[in-house]
Amino acid sequence: MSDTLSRKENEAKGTQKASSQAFGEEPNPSVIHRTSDEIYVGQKYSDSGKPSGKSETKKKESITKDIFILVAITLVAGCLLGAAHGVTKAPIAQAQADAKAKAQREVMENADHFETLYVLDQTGSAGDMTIPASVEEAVASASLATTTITQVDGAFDADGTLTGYVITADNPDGYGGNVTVMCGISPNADGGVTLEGISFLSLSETAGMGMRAREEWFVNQFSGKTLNEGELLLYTKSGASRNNEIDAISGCTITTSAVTDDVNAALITAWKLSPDQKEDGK
Amino acid sequence: MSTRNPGIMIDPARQKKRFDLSRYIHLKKDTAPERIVNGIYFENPVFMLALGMCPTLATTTSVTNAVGMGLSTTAILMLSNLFISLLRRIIPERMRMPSYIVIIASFVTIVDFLMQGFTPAMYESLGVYIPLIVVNCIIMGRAEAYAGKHGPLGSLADGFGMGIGFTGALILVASVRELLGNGTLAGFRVMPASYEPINIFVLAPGAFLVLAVFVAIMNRLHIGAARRDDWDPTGKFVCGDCRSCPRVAGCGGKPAADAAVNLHGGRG
Repeated sequence: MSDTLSRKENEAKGTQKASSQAFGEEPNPSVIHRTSDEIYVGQKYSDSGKPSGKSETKKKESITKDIFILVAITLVAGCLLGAAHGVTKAPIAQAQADAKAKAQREVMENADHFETLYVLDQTGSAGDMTIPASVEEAVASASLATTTITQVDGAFDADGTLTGYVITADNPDGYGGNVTVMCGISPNADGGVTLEGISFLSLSETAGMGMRAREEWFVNQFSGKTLNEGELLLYTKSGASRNNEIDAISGCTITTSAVTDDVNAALITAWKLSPDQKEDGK
Repeated sequence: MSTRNPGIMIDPARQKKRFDLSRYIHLKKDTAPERIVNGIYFENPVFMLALGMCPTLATTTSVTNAVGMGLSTTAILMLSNLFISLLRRIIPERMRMPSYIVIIASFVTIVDFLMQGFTPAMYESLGVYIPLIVVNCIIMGRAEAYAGKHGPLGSLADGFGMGIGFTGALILVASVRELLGNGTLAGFRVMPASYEPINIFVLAPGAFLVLAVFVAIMNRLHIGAARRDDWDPTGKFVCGDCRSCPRVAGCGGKPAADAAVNLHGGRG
């Protein structure tokens, strides 16, 4: 309230108050250092704060003009964005493909080349490569309803024989978003599988907490694990004692749970697929 | 010098002893060097204007993230300031806000595409924060306070200065948080192996704590937001209380007593 009063006072007295302050008649500390130049500077600022009279007289005509200008700006911005998208579409696709290829190499080191076998049919155009319904059912029935298998690649050796699968599973229940894990799994002769390794395609957890899932000690738990058919992984906070147990990240149960769900979904997919492949004699 | 109660005088002797950088730096107003020094020190967006607090708290869990976020914001600040300044005579008074938002959002999206295509590793770690730069108050605040009223060269320098000031503030906070909360600095192990990281520093409460301590230290040394008490933007004692003014960030008025302005050199 004192501010409003002083504003009215200032407007009434104009520059006189300022100049009287400059001579120290009122003990106003904020003007101790003022010179006449400063008074001019102060006035200039207050003048620029007022709206110019011009826009008021043109009020009726200017609405259309204003709208036109805004539309023009938005149009130009839209064109620029379209151009930028066109330029960066290829590099973005390339970067994503590179990341996937790198992850494939990481999880299945011995393979010679990879070939996509199945993909998640989101646009209705996957055709023969749609993930088999039996796989999706098996994943859903194992209490992994939220986890989806997005891609299954076959890992082939130099002869063209299928040596294993690289399965990408996605779980939306991470702490900070989706957790997408790529798992390399190779079937064993006795019906079990070996989990070769995992790699994260998408992990956006809290740094120092959930992001620790990328640390070596955690990822190595999933490397070279031999599991019998039907055996799923469990996470434990009290020290992994059995073969199918892994240590959780302390304080990050949600992240650990999402990762474990992804890996288990991949395991189920591998079991479902390997008898089929063997029967086909591939 | 309390503008809240003009009757209170600060003892001039104590005022002289206070650290006042404007005594040593005299730069011509609205030139590139002045704008840069202004953005880094005199009107640092985080510590003086209290803008961009959300990214300061959220992206400072590691120094690399902080640098990435700061530099992206700097790039967008410079671009948006430049274009808004070039268009300032065309944009009508009441279409200011929508126009600024369209321009800023377009630049953010372009930077988003570029990062996704050419620096995928950085894009992974900064993720959701890039689109949030649109609502970063620094960009809107500077567009409103400076770019909309001044020429392109000054606005470009202002964007650069504010961006560098923002990046510096982020790095300050991030160094402490990463060092104490993770034992590393920019990924390099600094603390000895026996150091048990204090996890709270990489979480939200730790961010608030670190920021608060920094602000407290800066106020004590009179290099922080406490300097806003010395401001009187109109020079006529009209607004008065800059310390608690919510619009100080958008206020284009130059602070009177604490400024890199050579007042004796004239009005420029």
